[in-house]
Amino acid sequence: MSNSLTLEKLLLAPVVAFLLVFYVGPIGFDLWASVRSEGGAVSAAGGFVGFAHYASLLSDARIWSSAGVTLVFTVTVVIATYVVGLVAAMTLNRKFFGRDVIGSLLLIPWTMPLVVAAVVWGWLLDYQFGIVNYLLEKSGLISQPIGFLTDPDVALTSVGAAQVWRLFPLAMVTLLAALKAIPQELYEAAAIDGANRWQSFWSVTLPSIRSTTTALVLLIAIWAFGRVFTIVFVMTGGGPAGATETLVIATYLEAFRYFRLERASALGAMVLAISVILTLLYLRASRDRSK
Amino acid sequence: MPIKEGSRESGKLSRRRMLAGGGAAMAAGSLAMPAIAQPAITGEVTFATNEWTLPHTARVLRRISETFSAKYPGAKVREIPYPYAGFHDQMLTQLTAGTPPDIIRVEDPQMSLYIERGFLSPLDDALREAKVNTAGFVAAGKDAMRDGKTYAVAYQSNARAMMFNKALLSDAGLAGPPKNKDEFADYIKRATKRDKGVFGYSLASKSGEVVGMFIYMVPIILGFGAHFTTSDGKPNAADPRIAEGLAFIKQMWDENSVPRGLDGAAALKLVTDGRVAMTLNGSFVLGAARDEVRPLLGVEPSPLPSGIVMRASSWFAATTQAKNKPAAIAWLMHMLEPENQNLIAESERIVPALPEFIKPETYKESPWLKTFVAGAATGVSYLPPGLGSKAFGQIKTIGEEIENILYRNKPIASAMGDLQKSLEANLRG
Amino acid sequence: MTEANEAKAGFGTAVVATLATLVLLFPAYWMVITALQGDSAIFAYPPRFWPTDLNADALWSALKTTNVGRWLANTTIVAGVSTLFVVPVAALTAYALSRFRGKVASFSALLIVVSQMMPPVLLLVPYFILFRELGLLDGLLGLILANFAWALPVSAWLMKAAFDGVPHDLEEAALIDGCTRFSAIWRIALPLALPGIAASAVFAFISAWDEYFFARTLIADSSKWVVAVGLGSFVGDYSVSWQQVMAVATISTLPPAILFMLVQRAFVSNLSAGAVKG
Repeated sequence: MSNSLTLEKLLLAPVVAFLLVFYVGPIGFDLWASVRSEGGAVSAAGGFVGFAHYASLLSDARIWSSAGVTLVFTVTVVIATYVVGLVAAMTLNRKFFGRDVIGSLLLIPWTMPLVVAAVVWGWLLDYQFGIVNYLLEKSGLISQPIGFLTDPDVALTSVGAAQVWRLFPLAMVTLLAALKAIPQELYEAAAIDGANRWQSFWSVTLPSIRSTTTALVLLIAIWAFGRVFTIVFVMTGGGPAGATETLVIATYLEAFRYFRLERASALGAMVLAISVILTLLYLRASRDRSK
Repeated sequence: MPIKEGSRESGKLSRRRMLAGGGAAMAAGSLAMPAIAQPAITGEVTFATNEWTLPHTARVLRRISETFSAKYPGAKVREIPYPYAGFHDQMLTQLTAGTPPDIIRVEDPQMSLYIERGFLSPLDDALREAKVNTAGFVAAGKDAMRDGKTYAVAYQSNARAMMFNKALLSDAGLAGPPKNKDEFADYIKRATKRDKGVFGYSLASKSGEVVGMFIYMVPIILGFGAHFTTSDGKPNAADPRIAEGLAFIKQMWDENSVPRGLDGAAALKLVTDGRVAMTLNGSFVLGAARDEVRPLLGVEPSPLPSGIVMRASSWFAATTQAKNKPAAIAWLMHMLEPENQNLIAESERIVPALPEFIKPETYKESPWLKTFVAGAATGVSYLPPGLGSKAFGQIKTIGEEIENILYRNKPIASAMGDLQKSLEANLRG
Repeated sequence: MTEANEAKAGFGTAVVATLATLVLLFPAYWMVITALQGDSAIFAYPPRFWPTDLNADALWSALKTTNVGRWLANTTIVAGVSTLFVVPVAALTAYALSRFRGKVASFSALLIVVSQMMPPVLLLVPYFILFRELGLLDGLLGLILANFAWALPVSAWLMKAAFDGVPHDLEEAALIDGCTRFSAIWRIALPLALPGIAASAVFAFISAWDEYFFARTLIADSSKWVVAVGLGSFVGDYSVSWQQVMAVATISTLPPAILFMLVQRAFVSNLSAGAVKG
């Protein structure tokens, strides 16, 4: 067994070292910055302010509003991306004419540069010139243009849709790989037991892709919660009136609009802490279920 | 253009006096040579601005850099063109990390912060050496000063005036531009033709672009006589004149006379494409307009009551941690040379730091430039006054309430009440 | 299912899938169409679904006046090299995480997950300082390293899931038979996990291709710009010609799209891999 341990260390040590430098280091820097006074992150002249920034963030109504927006955004993006990806993957797992072509085409959202995707979606949904509003009005479905990006009640759905559009190919490809690994015998056995398509989906397909599902859902959730930025920012900038201001965008605004890098670091540290806690809970829950 | 080497001290002095006195015609090709006694001006100067990718501006900057290199052998400008989206973020990152470029572009929101954090190098000695007539600086020159020291020189100061599209006005049956605020509101409504994609007025109203939106809203708000803070930085949101200005904007919005959700570039593009009847904007519009649209545009001072002119400017500064400070500062002084000042005005149709050096030929080609020069002499920045480096953050706070008014139909009085409270809270801490 | 029914179901699926794909691809269609039109197309009112006056002027002028060719070359180098390094490292890491449960493995797994949670905004200043100290600013090498760092945790995570889906039995059997561990990985575990690994490799490539934030921060020299930064230089400038932007965007979408077409056999098409028999 010591052989295994050595191999384990050999394979993992370099990666651990790398991650310590490139991620834990910056986290350390940000934690340090978060307890410094304004302007004190990189200059020795600043002072130590303890948890002042954290306290001010927690009593800031805007930040709580951002938290709410982030929660809704994360949950809907995760579910929608997974479902769309799964449907696409299951479709591609069957044989049909043109499947290879369709499969390749469905990857295209993934190949579009983020900024371009955001700009194009912005045009499509533009209030006065967008083609979506034009078609809807022309076909008589609506009488006034819809403020896809200008109506606070609709904007989050719009950016969510753009985000899902961009993310689903990853889900599709990952799930397809997992679907392919399911042995045919399991389906045959279920069929013999009298299961119809729906039942075999629940009893064979879903359980077999559990580990991939867990990893994928966690991945998308972490992203939607703590990393997604470009599409939302380019499409709405966090507006209108804060309707799409996620915590990530709020962090960016703190650093580059309010020039409060220290407060932004505190916010980032809190987002990180929440992500870690939620992840640990999630992993524990999924590990328990698979026992 | 041949550059004559500087002559004797006395000759220089008298030439400068003549120029400072009237700013009219200048002997072609004769440039005063600053007496530099310190380290040689040579080597590479790193110069960061997004404008290297803007054809008009890049041409001007390159021309100035060429003559700069000719004047100081061995000195060469290295272009660093960060994209505009995020340009200032990039600069802030590098300034914070301690290794910025030698020359950087600064706009209104960043100026106070950079000066307060000690990022910019004072230029007074160099200005004195080069005998620059600092009294002739546009109003924006003062924004770059703190405690009597000057930290940047203006490249352009774009005051706002009203530009109108004659063809679109006559399409709407209107004889000429509006003369007062009521006509203004009325004309805007009548000139809007949604089915043709024509708007009476153009606004930027996109959230993420805080400054863009502000630049479009403030000319109107200032037009009614007040700003969101008083000149000594006290919150002023409850001022009834602010409410008047916002009501004007809201009315246009509700009547669908303005586009919704566009960013600054798109809002401007509508104007330069000839799809907007009137706008309060800077002279660069005329340069950027399409060829078929330019002859249709006319210029008048804003018809709003207060007569306060808004301006948006940009400066160039030498950073404190520049690797080649002497050359960086020399470039800035070189830009202030009369020949270069006229070059800036003539090529880009904008108002440079020392408008006294704009030649008559340039005025002949662009007569409306006089209106903008007058505006730049007295105009005020769009930043809420008296806030120093906090101004930028407060723009975001103000912008939020404006968005509430426009996008959530929040009553103006209530929004301004909340804004007053927010500003007081923010500025207390 | 009878053959006739299968054929019918296949046809039905094809139709639905095609329609869904067409709808889903509309934004891409819009990008290409805008690139092929006159300048004010996007602000045209009413907007034209099927524009009639198409021309390729923008594409040619984009190729000539912007530095698209250089950007594409830089991007290919950065994305290609960083992916080339990420894949083996992530694969080995993922294998170790999947097969071992010791303290080191658990700690690594934690690190990998936490690394992905950093808001990228807060990495800007630390990375800038770090890369400056390492002398890596303003070179493609720095960007390659940054993208490697960006992709490593995610790739390892995705590949771990792929390895998790491959049962241990076969490897154990091989090891008992006297195989070395590496041989067991190479000949048994890897081929079975290949679809997931390929997916993750493609993902790493795309992320690097697309990456804007760090590319903008770590590179000053415009000759080293990648496509994402080049595109970014258009957005927000009032002198921008939108059809040129979309032309550049279309051009920059082609290489990953073509790469996908070639590689998609590894995970979309029918691979024999999957069934663990016996």
